[in-house]
Amino acid sequence: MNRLSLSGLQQWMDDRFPLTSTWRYHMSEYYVSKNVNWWYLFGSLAILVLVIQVVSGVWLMFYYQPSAERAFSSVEFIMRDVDWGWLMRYMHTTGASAFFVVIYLHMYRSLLYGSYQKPRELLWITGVLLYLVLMAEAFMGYVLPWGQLSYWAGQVIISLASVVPVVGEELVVWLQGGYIVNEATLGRLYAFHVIGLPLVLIGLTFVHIVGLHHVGSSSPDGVEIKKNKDANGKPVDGIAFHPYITVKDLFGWGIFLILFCAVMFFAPTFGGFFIEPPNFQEADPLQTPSAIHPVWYFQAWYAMLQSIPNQALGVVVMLGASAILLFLPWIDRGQVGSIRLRGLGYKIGLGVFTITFIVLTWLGKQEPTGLPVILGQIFTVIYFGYFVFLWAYTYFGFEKTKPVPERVTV
Amino acid sequence: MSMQKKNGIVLGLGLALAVAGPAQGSAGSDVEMMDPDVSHHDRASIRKGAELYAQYCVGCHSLKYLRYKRLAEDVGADKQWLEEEIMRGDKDPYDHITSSMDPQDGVEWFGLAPPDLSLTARAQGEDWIYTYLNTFYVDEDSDVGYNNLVQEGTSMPHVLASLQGDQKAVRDDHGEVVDLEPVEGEEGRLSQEEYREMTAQITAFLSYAAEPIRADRERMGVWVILFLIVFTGVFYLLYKEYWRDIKK
Repeated sequence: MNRLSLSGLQQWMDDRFPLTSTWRYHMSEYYVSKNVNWWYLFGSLAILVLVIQVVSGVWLMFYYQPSAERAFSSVEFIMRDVDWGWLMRYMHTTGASAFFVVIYLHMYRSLLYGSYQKPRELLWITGVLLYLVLMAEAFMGYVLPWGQLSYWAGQVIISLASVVPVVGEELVVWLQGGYIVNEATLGRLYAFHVIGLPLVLIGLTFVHIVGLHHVGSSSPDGVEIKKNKDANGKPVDGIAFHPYITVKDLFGWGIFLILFCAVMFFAPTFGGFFIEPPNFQEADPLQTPSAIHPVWYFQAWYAMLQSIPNQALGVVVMLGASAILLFLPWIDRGQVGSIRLRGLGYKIGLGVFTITFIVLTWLGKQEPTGLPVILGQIFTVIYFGYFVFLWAYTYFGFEKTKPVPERVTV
Repeated sequence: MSMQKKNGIVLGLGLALAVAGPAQGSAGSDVEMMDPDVSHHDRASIRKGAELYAQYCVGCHSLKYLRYKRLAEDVGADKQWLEEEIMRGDKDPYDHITSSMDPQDGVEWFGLAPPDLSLTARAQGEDWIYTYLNTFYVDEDSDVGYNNLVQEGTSMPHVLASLQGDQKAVRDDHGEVVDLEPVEGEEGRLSQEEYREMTAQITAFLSYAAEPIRADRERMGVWVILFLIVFTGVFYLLYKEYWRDIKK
């Protein structure tokens, strides 16, 4: 073999670094069920959005000034005086909302195909943790432009810590670095937003992917493709991630980028949902805005908070609503994963759960008086009720499932 | 149930939710907003609006995030236009558009300093600005002699009264203002139509000032989307080619 050839270089590398074996393990010999559908696209889209956020975020950091005096005007400086600054800013704001669209659909795929069930419990848990960290990341980023809603949303969210018994009030002061949200608060949120949480996010993403490639992806049919291998150890219903899924995802990325750019170039505020009008007013600690609502992706949780009169209970319920997801693999005792095999009760239950989440999201934008409060309470009960139902339905064997097929359907 | 159908329902619901209720920032006012009907691609209106702004508004209201030079470039005007119509005096084209008024004077004269209007169009909306400029009415109880439908108890006098003429409130039995009508003998120099056109031009300018890149970004966006469609088409063919063996 010629030592100067490409394969010579590869051999040289492989003697020193697991290049070829890693590529094979994660790409060219990582097998995925050959009938994965478009629901399976959102994982790789999440990676794409993460990259978009890191790149645009670094760019914004060149010019953004984390001080109470200059934060707001530095954002306008980026929007007007920095070449392509507006593009980086809109990319980052559109990316934030796109991240949640993608992640919500990615999580929903798990509900449809039971991707959290054995042996993928840890995969689900790292995923939920990623979602929790992403929420913290998004909240902190939201405060940075230092507009009126940035400031007051920061005030509202941080003050939730006051429900902690005994030390609550002091905890809020400690978190804020003062008696109100101020420059010290801005500084620490900035530090967490640009480095603290991204490190956690990227680390968890790594663990999430390593975990996935160990157990393999679920399939829409509920078939474990690893159970049926040919003589070479290749799953008969599997196809290699590279090139088959990579070219498929590439096409999906194209569709996503068309939608993403349509928003970024033609409707970056998305009618006030991605960037809200009151946030074009600079933060004023002396003037409370007429209405304080979080951005759309937090509104379901916020609806729970504002429909419960007791604030401490509200906070517990709100945190519980996302924490309960961690236990989903043990709440659902179902014998099959895919919705194609599950009983009618599961399908109806999931449908109700879906509608509940959408209604709660809508309620989070309404004034917290009268009907929205009552509806908020009802749908909060239904939200938690779904998990109780799911456990009872599967634990006591009410579910009539279809048998798991031998092979996947193409 | 077909999966495609289900996907469609879920995505459809999400989309319906997204476009259901645009959130504008003009809370607390139930006045019906008037539509200025101006386009951010209409450079002539923006340019005329800038001239009007320099004439009637900049005495009190700065545009601290907009530079003179940027304005001239974006409306396709030259240095001479800038000097004669906009800057009027010893100013540097690279400066931001400032007001010559001392904020402290504003506090003494009107009770508060006139706000900077750089981002008003984004915070309040174009409709809000246009309606505000059109709905001043005479109010003897007010310090400045005028009140306004969209901003009750406004501190701003009706500086365009000589052009629009005075309007008075038409009230219902509960004393609520239901309409405005011209005060006889106090007509302005402009007809109603001319005044509306003028205020629409000022609105177009303020809308531009709130986001100078907007028109360019949309022009650019068309090409980006077209490029991505072609690119995605190539990816689609690649995908079909690779998957031909699998989907037999």
